[in-house]
Amino acid sequence: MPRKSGRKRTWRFVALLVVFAGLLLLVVGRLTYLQVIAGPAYARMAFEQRNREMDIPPRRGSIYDREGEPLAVSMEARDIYAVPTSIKDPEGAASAIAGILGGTAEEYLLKLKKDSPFVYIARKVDLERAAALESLALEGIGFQDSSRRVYPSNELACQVLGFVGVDDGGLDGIEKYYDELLAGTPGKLIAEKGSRGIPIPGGVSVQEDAVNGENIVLTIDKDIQYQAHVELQKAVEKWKAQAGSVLIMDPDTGAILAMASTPSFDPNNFSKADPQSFRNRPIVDTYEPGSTIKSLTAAAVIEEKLFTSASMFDLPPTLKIGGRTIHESHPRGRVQWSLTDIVTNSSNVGAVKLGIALGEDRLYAYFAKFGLTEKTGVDFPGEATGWLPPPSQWSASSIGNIPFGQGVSVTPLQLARALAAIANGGELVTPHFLDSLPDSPEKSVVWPKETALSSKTASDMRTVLEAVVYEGTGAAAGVNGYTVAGKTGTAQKARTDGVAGYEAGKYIASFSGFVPADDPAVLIIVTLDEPSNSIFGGTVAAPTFSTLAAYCMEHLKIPPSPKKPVSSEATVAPSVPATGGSQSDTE
Amino acid sequence: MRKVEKTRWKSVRDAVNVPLLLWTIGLVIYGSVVVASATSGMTGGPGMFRRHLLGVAIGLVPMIVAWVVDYKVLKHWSGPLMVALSFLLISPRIPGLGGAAKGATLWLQIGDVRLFQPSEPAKLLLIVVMAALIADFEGKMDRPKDVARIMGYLAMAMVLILLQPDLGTGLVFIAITMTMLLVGGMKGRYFAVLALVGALGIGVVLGFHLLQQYQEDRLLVFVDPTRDPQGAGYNLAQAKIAIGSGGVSGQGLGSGTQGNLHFLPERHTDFIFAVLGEELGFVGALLLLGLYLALLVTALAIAASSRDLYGALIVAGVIGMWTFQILENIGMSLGMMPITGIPLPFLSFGSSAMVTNLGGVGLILSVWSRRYGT
Repeated sequence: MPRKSGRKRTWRFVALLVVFAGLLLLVVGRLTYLQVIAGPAYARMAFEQRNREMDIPPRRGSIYDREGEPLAVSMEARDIYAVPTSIKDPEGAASAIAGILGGTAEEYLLKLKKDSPFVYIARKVDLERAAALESLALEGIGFQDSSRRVYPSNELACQVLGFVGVDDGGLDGIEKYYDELLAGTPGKLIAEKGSRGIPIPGGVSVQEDAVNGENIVLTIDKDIQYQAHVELQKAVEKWKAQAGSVLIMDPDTGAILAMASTPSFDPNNFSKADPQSFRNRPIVDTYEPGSTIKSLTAAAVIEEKLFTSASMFDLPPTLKIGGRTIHESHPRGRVQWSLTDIVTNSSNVGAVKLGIALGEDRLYAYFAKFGLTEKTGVDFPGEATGWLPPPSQWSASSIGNIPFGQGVSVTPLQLARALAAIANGGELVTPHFLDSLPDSPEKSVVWPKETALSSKTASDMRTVLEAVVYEGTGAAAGVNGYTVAGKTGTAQKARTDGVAGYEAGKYIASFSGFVPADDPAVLIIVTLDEPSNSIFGGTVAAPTFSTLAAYCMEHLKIPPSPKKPVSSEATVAPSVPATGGSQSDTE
Repeated sequence: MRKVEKTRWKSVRDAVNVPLLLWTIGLVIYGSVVVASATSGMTGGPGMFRRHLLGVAIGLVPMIVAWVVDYKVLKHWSGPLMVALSFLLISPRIPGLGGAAKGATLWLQIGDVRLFQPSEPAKLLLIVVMAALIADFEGKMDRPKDVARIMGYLAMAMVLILLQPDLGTGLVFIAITMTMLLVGGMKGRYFAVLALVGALGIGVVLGFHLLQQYQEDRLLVFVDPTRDPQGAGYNLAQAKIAIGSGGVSGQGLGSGTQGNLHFLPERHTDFIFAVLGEELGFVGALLLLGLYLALLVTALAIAASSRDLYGALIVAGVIGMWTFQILENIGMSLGMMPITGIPLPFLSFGSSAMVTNLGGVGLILSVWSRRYGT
């Protein structure tokens, strides 16, 4: 071959070499960037994707009642997961799982065939069933430690306790309010994982141990709670009410002994319940309190020394205020009634007369002192505030209805707190559920109190309210062997469709009171929402109050009242309109 | 038919190109070490490593045969070789012979026994056949019909390989042919025309969605690497993390977490460079690139020293094959090239490729050892 052509070819080889060397230089440049310049960043990415910080779940604290009975406890459980790619026989595995955990094979098959490296089959499975499944040694099925919240008394105090979510966080009630205490602090472990998310054996190191949650003791008394639950259920059924609630509190301290609402639910299975049943009605629902408020109006008048309980009033059949005519709920002629009579007969006209004597500003100031303009500060999430506008926003007719509880709304708990001030000698207490923290006794819980009323006025009012039960609308609330003080309430429900006014035929009937009247140990409010057959608090709510009060006296070993024992007729004969005209209530 | 005289070597130096052998041995050893590391964590890893070494042993046979046989003989066998090439490319499609892998029919197998990937030795056959065709123009390819003739042969081979379908090998075929056309004297303007035609072809392929869905995804990911990091972009993202986390000096042989923890897919085959980059770092990568550069420079020198155009074209074809595969394979691991399943010469696990590459070394040695003949 001629040399010339060989030389002629040479430049073509050189060109090839130059092209290759040039491209190689680009590669080296890229390598320099990736490995030398960005190397540390990529090293971090590699570390992050293979090391996963995982939480070691802490054990959630238990909730006990005041006597140490468990209300909510955490049990060891297992989460069961699958690695779909390593399951050889999904159909077989699915039917085996369904056989042990329940449910259909199809729903598990769907999970096992998922195009994902990790899928939960079931969470919070009890140890027994988890162990049964584990013994099958199915390939690709794994188990993780977990815990399960158990409410041993099922529906008891369900709305108070609330419930926890799938990751053990408190979602409602006490579980939510004290979540930080109960939850504890998760520990941390660093697990080296392969691309499929499975911890590599030997690649797990504990960085920090979990701190278990604290146990808490509530003021709730499980036995009283049970009675409240059962009696409320009975009353709601008997009067075919839409809903109802019972609140039992120690008026001296604000400690809530029982709080029941119906409809109720099973917190062990809350996801299948109607969310309406989650409502802890005494705290989250407001209503127009109606006549019950008359006791606060009366207390303000006495405290201001405008009148005494014996002062006499001349009451016309109706009264015209700001263009609006005030009626009694049971028509009557012109009467001469004492202040006590006004309260025991639940006279609207009388209450308005007291309100006018006080004046708008003082009436509002006293209602504020009784805590009607603020939240009670109870240790519970989602507390509602009532509605009581300042006098500057009142209309001409406001003074004609606010004194007997219309145009005002409160929660039953707000009302309980106000009445407790009459019961305990004048102190406005903070209602609460937390009794103590047995795991950290150094943390003492102090619930604030302030003075709302002189003890003299409080004492006078107790006598007035005692008369309600002996002579007035609350006869059915009597308890054999004990003096009882209280007030009926029958309030129309405000319309919810945005139009001002009241819904025809829809009432909230209540009875609020305390026993023994002279040195109250318990304050009870029974509320029934939309009862049928009868609408009056003295008829519908007072008997339930009586039963619960009697139970509390026995359970708390309160000595019977020395004097003024109630006659047996008064307890047995409920508020059949035998007392006729005295059955007057807010209209 | 011209008579081919029997080769007489005056000394060992005449027959053996020591640097070429040295670089080859170096690459084979380097590759074996990295394959051993990459397969160590896999189920059946030791078995795979033995299969890799077996591939090296088997590869010595075609290497020595190609070396000992005078390459000029092959020029007279173009016809039969073309038939053999066609058969190799069609064989996986013949019922009873083909075996599938990842959606394509790439294997020649009888019963359950996988023999080899015919597309690998087909590259060498294409080189030898193309060399004979191009050599006939004696270094002067200035008529369009000359170019068209070569393109016609290439097109036939392309149609057969795309039937498998094996786009990666098809691209290697193009790279081989272009390198040989450069050395074979094709005028520069034809390269420009071919580049234009190629660009048009790519446009048509993309415009009418002629690619498989996964291939289109790979291209899209190449254009935008952050696209779909858990899906089509996963391989690239993981390869870059592996290489980047290797840093300057690497994590140490066998200590690469990306590979050992199964983040890196195809780590012993297509993404072997990522394992090397992670475990041996920038230094290890430069060593590999140095070996490749040395191999290719040596091969280029041998091509230049060939006594005839045919020998030079054979060597150029092998150079084109290696160059393209090296740049494409490393380039895709670095995110510089789209992802295609092309093995890294001497490094990737796979006996078919190893046998083919050693056969290529044999062809180059054959040309070298006969450079002084008449």
